[in-house]
Amino acid sequence: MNPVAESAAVAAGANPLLPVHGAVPLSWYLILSAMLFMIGVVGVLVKRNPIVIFMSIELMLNAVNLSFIAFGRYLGNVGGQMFAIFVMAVAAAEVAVGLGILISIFRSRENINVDEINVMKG
Amino acid sequence: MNQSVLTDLQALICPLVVIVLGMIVLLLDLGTGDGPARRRLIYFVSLGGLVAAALLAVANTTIPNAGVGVTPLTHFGGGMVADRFGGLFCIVLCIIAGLAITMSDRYLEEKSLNSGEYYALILFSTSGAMLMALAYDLVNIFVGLEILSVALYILSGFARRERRSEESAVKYFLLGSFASGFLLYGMALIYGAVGIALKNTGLLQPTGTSFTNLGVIARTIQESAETGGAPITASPLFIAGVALLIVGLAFKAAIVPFHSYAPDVYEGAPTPVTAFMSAAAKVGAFAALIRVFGILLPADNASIAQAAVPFHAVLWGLAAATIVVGNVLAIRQTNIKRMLAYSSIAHAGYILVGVLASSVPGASQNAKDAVIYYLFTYTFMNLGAFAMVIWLGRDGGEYTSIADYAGLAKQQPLAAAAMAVFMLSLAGIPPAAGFLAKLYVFTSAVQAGLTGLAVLALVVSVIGVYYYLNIIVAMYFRDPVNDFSSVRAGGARAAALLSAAATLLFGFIPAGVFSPTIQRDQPTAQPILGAAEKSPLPPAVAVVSPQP
Amino acid sequence: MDPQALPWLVPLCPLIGFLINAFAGARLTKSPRPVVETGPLATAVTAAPSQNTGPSDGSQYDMNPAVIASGHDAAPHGATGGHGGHSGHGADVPLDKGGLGIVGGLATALVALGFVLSLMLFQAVQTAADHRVLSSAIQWMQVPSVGGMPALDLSFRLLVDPLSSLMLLIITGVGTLIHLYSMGYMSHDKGYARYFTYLNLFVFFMLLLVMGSNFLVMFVGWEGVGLASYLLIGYFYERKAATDAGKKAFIVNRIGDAALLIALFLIFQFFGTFEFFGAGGVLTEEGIAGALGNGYGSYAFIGTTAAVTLVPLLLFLGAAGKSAQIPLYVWLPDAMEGPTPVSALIHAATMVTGGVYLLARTHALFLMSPLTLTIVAVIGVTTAFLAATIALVQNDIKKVLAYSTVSQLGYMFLACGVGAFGVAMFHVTTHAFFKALLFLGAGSVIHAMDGEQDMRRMGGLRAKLPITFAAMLVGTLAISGFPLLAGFWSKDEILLSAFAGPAQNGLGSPWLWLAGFVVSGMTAFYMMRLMMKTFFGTARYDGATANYLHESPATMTLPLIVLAALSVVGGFLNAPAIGTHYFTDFLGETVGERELNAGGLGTTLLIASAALAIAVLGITFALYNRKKAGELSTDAQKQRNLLWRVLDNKWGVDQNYDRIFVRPGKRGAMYLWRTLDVRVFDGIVNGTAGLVRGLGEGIKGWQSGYVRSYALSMLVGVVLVVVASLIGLGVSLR
Repeated sequence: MNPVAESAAVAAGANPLLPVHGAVPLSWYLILSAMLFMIGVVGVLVKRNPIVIFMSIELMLNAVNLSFIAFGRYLGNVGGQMFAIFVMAVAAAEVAVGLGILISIFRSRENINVDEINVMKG
Repeated sequence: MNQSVLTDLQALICPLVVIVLGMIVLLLDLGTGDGPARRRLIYFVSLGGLVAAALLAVANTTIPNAGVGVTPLTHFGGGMVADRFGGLFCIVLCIIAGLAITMSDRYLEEKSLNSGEYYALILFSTSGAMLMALAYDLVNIFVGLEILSVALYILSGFARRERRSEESAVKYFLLGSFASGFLLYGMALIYGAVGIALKNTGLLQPTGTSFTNLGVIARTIQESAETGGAPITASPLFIAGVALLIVGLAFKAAIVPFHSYAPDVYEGAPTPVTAFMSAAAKVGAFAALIRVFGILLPADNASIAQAAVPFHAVLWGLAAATIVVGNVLAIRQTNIKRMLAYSSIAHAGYILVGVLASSVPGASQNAKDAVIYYLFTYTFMNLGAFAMVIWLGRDGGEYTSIADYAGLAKQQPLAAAAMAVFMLSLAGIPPAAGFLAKLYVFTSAVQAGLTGLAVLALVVSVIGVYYYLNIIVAMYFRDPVNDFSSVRAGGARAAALLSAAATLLFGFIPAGVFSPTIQRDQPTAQPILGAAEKSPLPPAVAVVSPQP
Repeated sequence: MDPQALPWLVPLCPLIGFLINAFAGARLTKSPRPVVETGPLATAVTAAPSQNTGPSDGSQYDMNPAVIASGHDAAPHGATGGHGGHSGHGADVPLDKGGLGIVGGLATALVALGFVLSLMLFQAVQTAADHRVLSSAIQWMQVPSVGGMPALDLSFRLLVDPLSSLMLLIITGVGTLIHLYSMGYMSHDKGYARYFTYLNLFVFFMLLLVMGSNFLVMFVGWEGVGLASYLLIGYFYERKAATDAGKKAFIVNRIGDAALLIALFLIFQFFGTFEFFGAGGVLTEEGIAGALGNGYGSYAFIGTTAAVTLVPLLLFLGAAGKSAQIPLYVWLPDAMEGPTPVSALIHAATMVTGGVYLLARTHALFLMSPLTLTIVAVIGVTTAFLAATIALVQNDIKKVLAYSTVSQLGYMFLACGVGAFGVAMFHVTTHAFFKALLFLGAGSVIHAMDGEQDMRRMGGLRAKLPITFAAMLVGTLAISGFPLLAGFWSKDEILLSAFAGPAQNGLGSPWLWLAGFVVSGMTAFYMMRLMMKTFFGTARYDGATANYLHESPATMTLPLIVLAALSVVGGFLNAPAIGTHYFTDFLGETVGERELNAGGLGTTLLIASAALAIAVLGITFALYNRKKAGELSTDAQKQRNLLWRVLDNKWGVDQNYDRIFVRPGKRGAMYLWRTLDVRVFDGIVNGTAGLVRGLGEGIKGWQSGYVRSYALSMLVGVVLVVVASLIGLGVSLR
C-alpha cells in the first residue's frame, strides 16, 4: 500500500476535528475507484454501440466522483463533494448533447455502429 | 477578502458579457421579424457585443500577472483570477469569436442553418474558453473546458444533413468525453494528494479550503518541501494527477498522441466551426496549461522548480512528437481543411515548446510573452486561411481539394494574395507575423536551454514550408481548373482581409501593435511565492479560508 | 500641438495620399462613360475588389503573374508609348478630367501640407533642446539576448534635427513643386493615378529615410525609395528600355544595399544598438567609446581589418549605390527612361542625395577613419570628372543632365571626403534647386516637342518657349558657377574645402582642388552647349512638331519660376564672402562643422572660379553662336577623334561591366539554375519531401478513422505520459 496514504491515515486519526471512519480505509475506496475507471476505459475500447461507449465514459466519470468523495470524506473537506456535484451536472449536460447527436446520426443512418462511422480518415 | 460581489463581477466582466450576449442572441432568435432582417440583427448584435467585451477586457491587461512575484488578485472566493495574462487571452478569444461569426453569415444562409443558435453556441463556447483562462481553481478549469467542449460538440454537428458533419460530432463527442474522464481523474488525484500533504504538515483547514485552488496547491508544494516531510512533488499521486491533467488539456490543444480526432473533426465540421475550434479550443487549453504550469510548477522559484522536472521530459517528448507528426502527415494531404488541421497540430507543437520554456527559470517571462504572441498571430493566420476557404466557396459548398485552387491568382488576385499571406505566415517566412512568432518561441526555447528541441522544431518546420508553398505554387503557377468568377465573399472576405492585414501588421510592427505582452519583467524576477508569502497565512490561503 | 506628434504627421501626409490614390485613384480617373475597349484601369491592388461587379472582359485573366506581383497596371495597354505628356493624344482611353484634378490635386496638396508641417518643425528644431525634436516611440520589435549577441530593442521613432529638417524642407518643398508640375505634364497619361500613387509612395519613404531615429527606420526608407524609384523608372513598362532600366537600377542598388546591410550588422555587433542618439547611441561619444571598448577599433575583424575602417567604407559603398558614384553610377543615366518629373524629383533632387545624407548623418563614424575619407574624396572627384567628360558629348537632353547629376554628386562626395559635410549638404540644397529646375525645364521642352529628347533635332526654341528658356538659362548659370548665383557659392565652398580641408584634419589637397576646378570648367561648357543646341541656332525639327510647339501650361511654368528664383538667391544662405552663414549656423554641430584654415586663400579661389565660369560660358556661347546647326565639328571629324570616340562610348564602362560582371554572372546563374538548383537542390527538396511522404504513408495507418482505435492511441498516450512522469520523478513502479 501507498506509504504516503498510510502515514496520512495515522495523522488523520490524531485529528479530533475529523469524523470517525468505519473500518473501510481510504485505499479501498481508491482501488475500487481505479478499477471502475479501468472498466470504463476498457468499455470505451471494446464496445461498438456509441450509447454503450458513452455509458462507459459515464462510468469513468462516476469512478472519479467516488475518488473525490472518498478523499473529501477522509480529509474532512467538502471540496470533494462539491467537485462531484459539478461533475454530475456537467455529465448531465453531456448526456443531453450526446444523446441528441446520436439520435440525429441514427435518423440518417439507421445504424449506429461506431466502426461504420469512418468516412474520414488518413 | 473584502471584495463585494460587484467587484468580482467587474473583474470577470468579459466572459460575463459574452455569456449574456449569447442569451440575448437566443432571445432575439425567438423574436419576431422576417428571416434576413433577423439574421442581420443577430449578426451585428453578436459582433458589437464581442467588440464591447474585448474593450472591457483591455482594462484587465494592466493588472500584473498572477504568479510573477505578485499576489494574485483573485475573485469569487479564490476561484477566479483577473490579470494581464487572462485579459489578453480574453481579447484573443473575442477576436476568434468575432472572426468566426463574421465569416459565417453567407455560409449559414446558403446551408439554411439557424443562425441564432449557431451564434449563441459560439458565444457560449467562447465564454467557456475565457473561464479556462481566468480560472484559479481546477474545478473552474474543468467547468470552463466543458462549457467550451459541449458547445463545440453541437457546433461540429451543426450541419445536421451532412454525414461528415455528423461523423465529426460523434467522434469529437466520444473522444472529448473520454479525455474529460482522464482530466477529471487527474484532478481527483491532485485533490487527494494536496489534501493529504496539507494534513501531514498540519496546516489543514478543516472544511472550507479548496484543495484544487491553484494558490493552495502552490503553497502546499512549497510548505511540504520546507517542513522536511515527504514533499508533495515526490508523491506519485500528485505526479500522476498532474500528468493526467496534462493529458486532458493536451487533448483540447490537439497534442500528439491525443490529436487523432482533430483531422477528422476539422474536416467534417462546418468550415467556420472548424476555424473557430482550431483556435478557441487551443487558446483555452494553452491558457490553462500555462496557468497550471506557472503556478503548480513555478519556474521562478528554485525550491519548487524541482517539481517541474518530471514533466520536462514528458513535455519535451510531446512537443517533439507533435511537431514531427503534424508536419509529416500534413505533407501528404490533398484536402485543404485536413492539411490545415495537421498544420494546426504542428503549430500546437511549436506553442508547446514555448510552454515548456516557460517552466524553465530565467526564460519564463520571455516564453510566456512568446506564447501569447504566437496565439495572437496563429489566430489571425489560421482563421484567415479557413475564411479563405469559405470566401471562395459558393452554392453551399467549398472547394476543399488543394488542386481546386490552381490558377486562383489569375481570377481572384486579391484572394490569392491574402491566401499567400496566410501560407507564408504559417510557414514562418518574413515579413508575415508567423516568422516573428516562431522566432520568439524558438529564441525563448534556446534561452531556456532547450537548444535541441528548438533545432528539431526549426528543422522539421522546414517541411512545413513545402506544403504551404504548394498552395502558393498552385494558385500562381498552375492553370485554372475551376471558375472562381462568382464566389461567396461577404463576411468571409471581410474576415480574411482583416486577418491578412493583421498578419502583416503584426509582422511589421510586432511590439508596436502588441506592446502589452512585451512589457518584460525584470531579469531577476521575484520568486512566485516571494518572501512575503512565506508568512504563516499567505494571501493565497487567506483568500480561501473558511467562510460562514 | 504636441511636439511628439508633429513629426509623425509629415510622413503621414504622403502616406494618406498613397493609400487614397492606390485604392480609389483608378476609379476616380476612369471616365464615367462606359468604354467597351477599356481594360480595367485599376492597379493590381484595386482590381480585385471590383471584380464581382466590374466587367470581366477577359483581359484580367491574361495577366502575367509577374506583372501583378510588381504592382503594375493590369491593363494590357496601360501606358502611352511616348515620353510623358501628350503622346496620349488621341489615346483610346478617355480620362475623367475632374477625377484627374482630384487625384493629382490631392497628391500635391498633401505634399504641400507636408511642407507646411516641415516649416513648423523647422521652427521647433531651432528652439528645441539639443536642436532635436523626437517623436513618440512605437515599440517595433524586441528579441532577447541570445548567444552573446546584444538584445535587440527596436523602436519606430522619428527624429528631426537641423540635418533632417533641411532634408524635409527640400523633399517636401521641391516635391510639392514637382507634383504640381506633374499635374500638367502627365495630364494625358492613362496611368495618371498610378503615377501619383507611386510618387506619393516615394515621398513617404524618402521622409522615413531622413527622419528615422535609428538605422533600421532609415533602412526601411532607403529600401522603400529604391522600390519607388524602380516602379517609376519602369513606369512606361510597355517599353523594354524602361523596364530594363528599372531592373538595372534595382540590381545595381542591391550591391550597395548589401554593403549597407553588412555595415548595419557590424554596427549592431559593436554598438549593440541601432539608435543614432540617446543613451549609448551609435553617433554619440559614449556610444563610440563603448564600441571601442567592444573592439571596434582593434584589429579583430577577420584578423586584419579594423571595423573602424570597414564600417564607414561599407556605408560609403551603400551610399555610392544610391548616389550613383563610381563604381555603381551606371544606373542613373539609364534611369532617365522614367517620366521627366521623376528624374527631377528622385534622380536629381532627393533620392540620389540620400547617400550624401547618410554620410553627413554618420560623419562621426567617418571622421574616425581618415583612410575612408580619402577614398571618399578621391572617388567623389573621379566620379565628378568622369561624368562631366561623358556629359560633354551627349546628345540626349536628359542624358546630359543625368551625367551632370552624377558629376555634381561627385562634388558632394568630394566635400564629404575632405570632412566638410556641411558644405556637401549646402551643395545638396542648391543642387536640388537648380537641377530640379533644369530637369523640369528639359521636361517642358520635351513636352513642347511631343516627346523629342534629341538635341540634334531641336534648336531655336528660345522664341517659342520664352519662360522655359529664361528659367533654364538661370539654371545653367547657377550650375556653371556664374557669380552670385546659388551654384557659385556652394561649389566654391566645396573647392575651397578640397584645397584646404577643414582645420584639424589634413584631408585637403591642391590636386583635389585642381580636379574639381577642371570639372567646373567642363560643367560650364556642357551646360552652355545644351542651351545653345536647344534654344539657339536654326530650328532642326520637322513641320508637324513646329505646328505642335507651345509653351507649357501654368502648372508647369509656375514651378519653373519658383525654382529659378530659388536658384538665384539660394546661395546667399551661406556666402562667407559677403558675410552670410545662416546655413552653417543652422546645421552647426549636426554635421561636425569646423572652421576652414584657408586663410586668405578663399578670395583668390573665389575669383578664380568666377573667372573660369564666365570665361567658359562666354567662349562656349561664342563658339556655338557661329555654328547655327548646333555642331562644332562634323560627324567625320568626330569619328577621327579618339577622345570623342572614348567619351561617346562613355569610357566603355557599360560594355566592360557587361563583359566582366553581367555575362559571366548570367552564365553562373544559368549554371546554378540548371545544375545546382535543378539537380542538387530540387533533388534534395523533392527527395526529402518524398521521404517524408513515405514516412507519412507509414504512419497514416494510425489515422484509421475508427473512434475506438483513436481511443486506444489516446490510452497508450496516457500510459506513456503518466509512466514517463513517474520515471522522471525517480519513482520506480515496483
